[in-house]
Amino acid sequence: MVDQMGNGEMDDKSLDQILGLASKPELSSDFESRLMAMLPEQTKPSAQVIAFPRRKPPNVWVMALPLAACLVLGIWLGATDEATDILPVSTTASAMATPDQLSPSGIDDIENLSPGDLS
Amino acid sequence: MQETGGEGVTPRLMQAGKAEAVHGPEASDATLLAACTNADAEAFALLLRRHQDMVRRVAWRLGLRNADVDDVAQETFLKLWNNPGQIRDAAALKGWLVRVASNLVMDRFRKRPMDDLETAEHVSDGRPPADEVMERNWAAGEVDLAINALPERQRLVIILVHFEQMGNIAAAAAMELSVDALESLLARARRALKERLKGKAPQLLAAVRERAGQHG
Repeated sequence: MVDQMGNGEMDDKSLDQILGLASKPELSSDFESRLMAMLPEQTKPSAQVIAFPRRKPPNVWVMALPLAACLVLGIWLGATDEATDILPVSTTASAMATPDQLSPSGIDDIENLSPGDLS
Repeated sequence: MQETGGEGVTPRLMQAGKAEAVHGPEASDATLLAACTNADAEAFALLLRRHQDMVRRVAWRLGLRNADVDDVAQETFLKLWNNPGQIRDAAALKGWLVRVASNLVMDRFRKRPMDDLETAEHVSDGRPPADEVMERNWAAGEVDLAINALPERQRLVIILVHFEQMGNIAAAAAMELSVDALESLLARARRALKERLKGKAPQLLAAVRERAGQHG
């Protein structure tokens, strides 16, 4: 081992042995009692939890009730022709008109279709 | 942890059995940490008894002396007492303690000269004066000086692996390194120590043999 030192080399075992020469820690003996005496003075920080206000879920029934009422009213009005008395005549007339009363709206309804007449 | 219990055992006795297990020397770190979250001072005392010497040795070997060692250990354990829940895995407790203590030591070395330079006539960094070390024991002094001359991280890895006998995995966890990085750091530290000590190696090895002869 010493020969190896002479060559400027040191093996791992020699280093471990040399490290064993290091000073031993000098520790006080009353550390534990002093620290334990400090514990009651320690005040743990209280957790500050800020809760967000919870949004109330919407009441589905409150919205559903008028919607259902509208639906029922619409069906009832449609079934009993009561709407004709309520709505303006211009609206109801076109809806109630028979096909014969309708004005021409398609190519079949045009009476005179002459390609030469462009005036 | 073995729990007492079974048929015919009243709940109170079962609780007593559990309490005994929590505060017994066989209680695991995990059990004691869980008890500490409920401010159980007795469980904390057991943890303290189990790990205080290791923490103080690390602080001492990193270069602190006397009251500074206890100050750092105290601050480390009070951090644990005030927030034991931050250690999620009890197996990591030792590494956590080493990490906190070594960071506190490094902070002291970095801050102290700046704080005291303007007011103090003599500034101490907490380490023993070199002449005191030399007088105390030449061989120990040489080794101490070589270790103290290492960069911080290399010094810490030597302390953990050589002096505290921590495995590479545990030491790597304590230093928040990968095992490969730790092994590389350890190799560099050992190389630096060999380089620094090689001139005095024959005398140091003679001191090793002399000490072995005294003990043998």
